Amino acid sequence: MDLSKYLELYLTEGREHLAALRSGLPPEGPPNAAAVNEIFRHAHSLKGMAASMDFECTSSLSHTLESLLGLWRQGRPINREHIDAVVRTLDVLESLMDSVQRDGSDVSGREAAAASGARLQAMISDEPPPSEGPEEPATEPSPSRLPVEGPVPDDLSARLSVGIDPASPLPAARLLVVLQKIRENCGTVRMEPDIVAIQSRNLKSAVFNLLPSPQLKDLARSLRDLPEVVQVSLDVPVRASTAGKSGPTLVPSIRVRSEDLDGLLNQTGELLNHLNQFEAGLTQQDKRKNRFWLEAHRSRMDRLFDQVLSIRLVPFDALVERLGRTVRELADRLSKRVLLEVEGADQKVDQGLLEKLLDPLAHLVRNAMDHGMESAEDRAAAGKNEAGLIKLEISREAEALIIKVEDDGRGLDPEVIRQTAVERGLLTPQDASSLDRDKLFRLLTTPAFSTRKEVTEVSGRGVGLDVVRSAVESLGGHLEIESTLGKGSRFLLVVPSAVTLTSVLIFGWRDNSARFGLPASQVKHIYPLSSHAMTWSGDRRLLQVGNELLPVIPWRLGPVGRDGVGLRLSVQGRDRILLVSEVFQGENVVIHPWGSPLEMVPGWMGGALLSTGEVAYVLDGRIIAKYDEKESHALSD
Amino acid sequence: MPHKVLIADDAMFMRAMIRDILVNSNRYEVVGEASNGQESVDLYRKLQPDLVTMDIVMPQMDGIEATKEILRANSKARVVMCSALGQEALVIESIAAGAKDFIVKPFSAEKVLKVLDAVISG
Repeated sequence: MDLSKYLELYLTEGREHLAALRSGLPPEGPPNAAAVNEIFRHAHSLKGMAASMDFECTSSLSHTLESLLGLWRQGRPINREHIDAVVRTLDVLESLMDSVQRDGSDVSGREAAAASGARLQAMISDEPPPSEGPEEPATEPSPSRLPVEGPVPDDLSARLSVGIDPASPLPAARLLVVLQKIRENCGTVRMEPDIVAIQSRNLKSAVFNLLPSPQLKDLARSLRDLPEVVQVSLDVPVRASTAGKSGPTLVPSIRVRSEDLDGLLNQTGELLNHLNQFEAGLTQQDKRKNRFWLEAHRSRMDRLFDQVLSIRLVPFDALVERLGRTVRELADRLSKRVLLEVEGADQKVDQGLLEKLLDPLAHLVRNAMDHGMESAEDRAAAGKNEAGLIKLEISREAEALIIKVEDDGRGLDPEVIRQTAVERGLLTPQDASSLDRDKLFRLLTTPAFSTRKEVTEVSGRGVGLDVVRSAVESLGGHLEIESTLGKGSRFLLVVPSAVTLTSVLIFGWRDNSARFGLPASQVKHIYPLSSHAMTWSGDRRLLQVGNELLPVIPWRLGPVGRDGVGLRLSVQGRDRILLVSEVFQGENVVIHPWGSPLEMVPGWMGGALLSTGEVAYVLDGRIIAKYDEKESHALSD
Repeated sequence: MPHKVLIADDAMFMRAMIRDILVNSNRYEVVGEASNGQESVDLYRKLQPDLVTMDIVMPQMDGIEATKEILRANSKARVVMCSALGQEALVIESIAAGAKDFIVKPFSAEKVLKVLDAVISG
């Protein structure tokens, strides 16, 4: 803004304020409230004008003057010494006006201003501290002047957390604006902590407890557009709490060490295996005779197992709060405005799993903020909202937990990845140019690969996606990357949602004594090959099912003849056929993720102990279905 | 159609600055200027502006009282407080009294417009 055109107005009006201050100075003795308010106002106006003109010396001296006059406003007796100091300060302010008139700036009066300010400051410090309220006790809001919260219903189970720009000059007032906006939209709301605590502790974020409603998503979106709001995350419980309220319990909850829960879970799992094995050893006749007993026992057992598992479940929330803090701290450090939008934080996750997810997720969020997000200027140039958006979405699909971390930043540049791979000797130029996007992105997850040249304080050298990948794979899951240049990136963490009982289809290949499994939820259909025709399209084999031609996955661990079976796997809307020799049975099992180093092999979920006492190797259909014709893969070796 | 704004500030200097910011945006037109609280209430009644920028510290009637008066005349009135650093308690009181938002001196055109735009569209 060109300030010079306001110069004349500043001088005229500024001198008027000084004159009014001089003529309005009260006599010694107890102050007259109206008269003191009047001169306080002139000092205050002068301060605001000088600050607007960037006249540092003037604004800071008039601020100190305002503080001294503030003492009089509090009713402190006015003494001769005070009046002298104020008069001398007015002289200095007048000479600063002269400097401005002469040089267009007040810097030449800096020393005089500093000396005068120090004298005033000494007087302010000599005064005994006020009983309460520093500057404006006459108008300090007492609790009764603040918005009064009526009685609120208990079911404020939706939580909207809002973080504001750390640079905000009046953060508590900003949060109150947010509160009023929410109240306008939803009526009942409770802010935590309350406004008094927010103001006194100078907090930059608050949680708003609301009645769950489908409109909250729109509200969260609209809040993101408010000035100075840098983070909004919404957490709506999927279902209202239906837990019956029984009478008060003496001890409503107890703490248990997580290892104890692990032990309990293992014991329960073993019991279940014993039952499976016992049942498998019975003759058909015995089974029939004891059918009722066996079924009753099994259902009890399944329920026990579920109950033990559910005790270990904690809402994803805890982690979201940590990530929210990471975002706020980084936004501050990198001077980027970034909003974190969270969906599905009420999903319950095994506590052990949650802990292991913290690092990879924090890593992805840091990456998104440091590498993914452009500077505000670049974003504006690209026609994007100045504030970047990171979406964290937690959902569940069959026995998998799916965590999506999406940003609207610059996206991954396949060309840069190609170049880097060639520079590092990882690929020949020919190979690099023929690699498709999926494979290029997968290259990013190899150790020490980086698309960024400078080392940044935040995420160090390299994007570190190899760390994320190995963490996810050690949980028996996998990492998927999608990205559009200029639009943003999406990282999908798919992990088994914990030790649970999974219904698994057991099958095998001829000439291979091992048993294999696939989660039953991943197998859509089983087709006997004897009644379905197989055709070729180029070098791609297809299975004919009705009018459909389904691509056959070119991977198996043994020969499959006409007596074999096709398993229909469905992944992201694309169906593929896995050929196997024989299907044995379905069974409810616990899938144990492999330990190191087998965890590094993608496509395997883990091992499961079958009722026969054998171990089944459980495959992940989501990965297997993606093996295509030309890709040579560790699995096919 | 630009939105009609009433500026209330006892300093002509401040009014000039706010006026320039608003007019240069082409989104707002200044329909009136008041130099004290009482005048702002009278002008509000007469001009029915879409928005009022209200200085807090003003003679005769301060900005908080004037805001309350205006809201009594029209409960949907959009009043944005003009504040200086160190006045958080007063701003909080104003918002509790029904002011929609606030801007902080020294004003930057970008921040002022962002706040006013949000209030107008909200």
